[in-house]
Amino acid sequence: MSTQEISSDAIIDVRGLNVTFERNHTRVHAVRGVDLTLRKGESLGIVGESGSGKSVSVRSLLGLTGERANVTAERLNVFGEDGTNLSERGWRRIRGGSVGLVLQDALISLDPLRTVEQEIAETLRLHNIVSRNQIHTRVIELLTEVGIPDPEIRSKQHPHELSGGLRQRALIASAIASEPALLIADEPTTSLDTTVQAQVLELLDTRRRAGTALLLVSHDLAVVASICDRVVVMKDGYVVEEGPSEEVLRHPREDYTRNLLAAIPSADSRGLTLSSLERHPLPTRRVQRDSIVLRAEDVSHDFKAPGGRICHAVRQVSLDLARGESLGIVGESGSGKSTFAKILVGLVEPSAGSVELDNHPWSPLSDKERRDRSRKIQLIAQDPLSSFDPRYSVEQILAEVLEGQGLSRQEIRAKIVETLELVNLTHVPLNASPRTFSGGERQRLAIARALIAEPDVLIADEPVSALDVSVQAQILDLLADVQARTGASLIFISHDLGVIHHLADRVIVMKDGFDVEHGEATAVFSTPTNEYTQRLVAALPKLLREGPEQPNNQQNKTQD
Amino acid sequence: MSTLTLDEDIIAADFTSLDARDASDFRLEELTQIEAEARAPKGGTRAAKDNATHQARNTASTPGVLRVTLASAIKFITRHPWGLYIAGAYLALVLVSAFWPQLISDVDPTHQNLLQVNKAPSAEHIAGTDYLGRDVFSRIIYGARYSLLIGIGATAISAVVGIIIGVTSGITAKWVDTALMRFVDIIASFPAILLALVVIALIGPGLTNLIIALGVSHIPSYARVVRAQTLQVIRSGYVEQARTLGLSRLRLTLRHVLPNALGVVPVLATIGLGGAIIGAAALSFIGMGPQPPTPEWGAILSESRSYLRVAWWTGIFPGIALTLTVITSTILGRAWQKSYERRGA
Repeated sequence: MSTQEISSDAIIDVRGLNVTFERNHTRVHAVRGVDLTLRKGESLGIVGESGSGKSVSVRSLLGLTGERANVTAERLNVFGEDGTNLSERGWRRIRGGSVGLVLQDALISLDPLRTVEQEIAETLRLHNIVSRNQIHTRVIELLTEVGIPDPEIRSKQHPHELSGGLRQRALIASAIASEPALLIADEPTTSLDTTVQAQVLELLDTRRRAGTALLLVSHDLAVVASICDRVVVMKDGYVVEEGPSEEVLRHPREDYTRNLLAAIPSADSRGLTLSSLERHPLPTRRVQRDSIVLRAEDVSHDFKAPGGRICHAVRQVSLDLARGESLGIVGESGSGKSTFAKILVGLVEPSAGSVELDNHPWSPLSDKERRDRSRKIQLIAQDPLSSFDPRYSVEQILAEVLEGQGLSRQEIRAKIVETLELVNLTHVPLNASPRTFSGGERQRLAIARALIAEPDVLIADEPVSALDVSVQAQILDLLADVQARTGASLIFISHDLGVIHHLADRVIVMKDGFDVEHGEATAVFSTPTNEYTQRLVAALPKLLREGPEQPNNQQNKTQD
Repeated sequence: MSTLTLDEDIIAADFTSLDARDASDFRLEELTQIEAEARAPKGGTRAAKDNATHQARNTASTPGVLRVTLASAIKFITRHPWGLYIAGAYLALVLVSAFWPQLISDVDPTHQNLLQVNKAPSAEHIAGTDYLGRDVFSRIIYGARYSLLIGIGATAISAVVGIIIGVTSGITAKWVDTALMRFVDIIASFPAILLALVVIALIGPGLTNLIIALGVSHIPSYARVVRAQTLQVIRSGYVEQARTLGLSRLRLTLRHVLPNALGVVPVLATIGLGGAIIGAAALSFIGMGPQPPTPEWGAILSESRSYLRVAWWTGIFPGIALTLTVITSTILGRAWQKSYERRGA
């Protein structure tokens, strides 16, 4: 129910948008001269990496940039209103009325003390959309519309009682309650599993086809490409490139866009570098099929959940890891992949089954008995910063690994420098704290710590999930490089099929603690036999809607 | 305490971050925290509960009006950095009086002059004289030593015992943890002053005993906070990572757990110092501390009570000295706490 009659069909018309933030007497220029136009019923995607200013741009369309922001624009027309000098009351008329906003994480965006119905009813009441006694009926209608099963029951529940996918749907329901002419979604699927992401995207697409204009912000090109007519690529507060989705993805004009596209790991990038514009072959790695470094046999892990229920985190999973091999473990959240990794490293005792390292027993041993060989298997965690003692410097972090091997101070120092060179981290001072590092540098340091132990097996648990695509590309290239140089085997755990497809020789697909399918990566992903794997592969947002151009491409151009 | 700042950060990041992805980092952190707690509800919730009860106890122990005025005064002063310098300068003065009182006043604080009883402040006696003709200013200066000694001594006892109990609880078997924490609960269930009185009743009045009594009664807050921190550190990524290196349990505790769990103790102790000094004055006031003619602040206040109508200066000046000491040490402690939390520990 839009409150304004719109003269032209442009509902958003922005010229020369600038946003600066003042913080501790330093000025940050977040958005620099951005132009945006959105017509009725059109869908526009804004893509960029963290810090590109994409979210701030969108927030300034709603007057939500916050007190410390300074927003200026030559023209800032939102539904015919001049946003440059709109009162808070005026903004409120736009928000929730003409525009619905969907944020990234529904657990945070929804009030934990209110039920789904109360949340949605508030919008209906505020904008006087239906009469008081019709509110309940309308709420149920809306919940049905966004595909929430058992709407009568769900409407009485609180956000924490709903799964991530249902929460996101509930949030969308409250955003569309006022039947806005425009829906703004800021990273609506980022924290969701692939299959749930597909459902949410489909829901947004349904709204789009019903005539609602859509403004979708994402770091993920594939997500944007799957439902938007036009794409805007942003970097450092500037618009780098703009155009119809197909054209931008197929024939990107700017190097930045090309790099962004090249950095996406997928089936096509197997054996090739990601971090450069032209793809070079990765250094070759020697896989010794007959030499098994790590073997797990029917490993299970149960634990008692609160309330006395027994949870099966891992159920009878086995693996053989050959020397030099890359094995991918893929699964959604709660599939038991991280617990399995912890069992392999020795942090968690399996309830049943056993693990062998170098053909010697590993899992039934005590920490003490494992101590001599513990360096042979190293873990790279998802959040590197939390894996470093906050008081430690780069040198201390790396030196701790080398302790107790009878090395002299000079030898330790030499080894540290050598390892930092291996991971391209030579520019940081040895006494620096990793707190001052960027995300990519931290992950390099975590890899350096794993490598300095000269391990036979590297276990990386979602090591690139928190990184931007371009940084992810560098880290993946680095891992391939060090693996080739050191001959170590790699177990790579990820929820991202594209990454696994890019680097893994073999793959294990996990669901609810079970190994539902395993085999050669290309075979599993091209002809999945298990029903769940098929769903997983189908749920991937396709970068291009039809068949791609390059002749050597296979069908799945994928990204997380 | 640290969760509170995290929340503020989330809100701030939500409105001002240059990009939602920045905010999502915070969310990720929070989610992992929630997840960690869900996975190990035993330690997580108990730690949180301990923190909460500890805070509730802290706020409940100060009378309402006093707390409000104190809080606004502290707020005002801490907003302006020069407040910190003034607080620091005052505390430095107290320290000098404690160690070298003769530098400030060369009058013997116990020297009586019955011809000069209850004289108002003058050039000769800038804070007047008391009912025995002793110089009040000199007694305040020499008394700093006792108040500070008792405050620091008692805080040291509670901190050391609290750390031992807290860390042991955090790293040992569940039954040890339960036993220790129930013992702490018993101590905590008595009002601090009452417990100190019980201890003094058992071991007798006097300087040393007063220190012990006050020390014992403040153990719970340290034990609970240290235990909560230990549990948090033990579950952190870096302890897990250190375990994969095959570090022995003892080394792991000494090298990673202890230093990171104890970071908050100096801050707590600085804030606790003020409370201990007040407690000491209160106990001396009712005659449980150092015996006359020792110029302890609480004792001076007690002696002045009967003469307040004719000689207000015998009570007002030591009262101001005491109040300022408590306020300044709290201000410095709070400022320290702020910078500690900002560091993100």
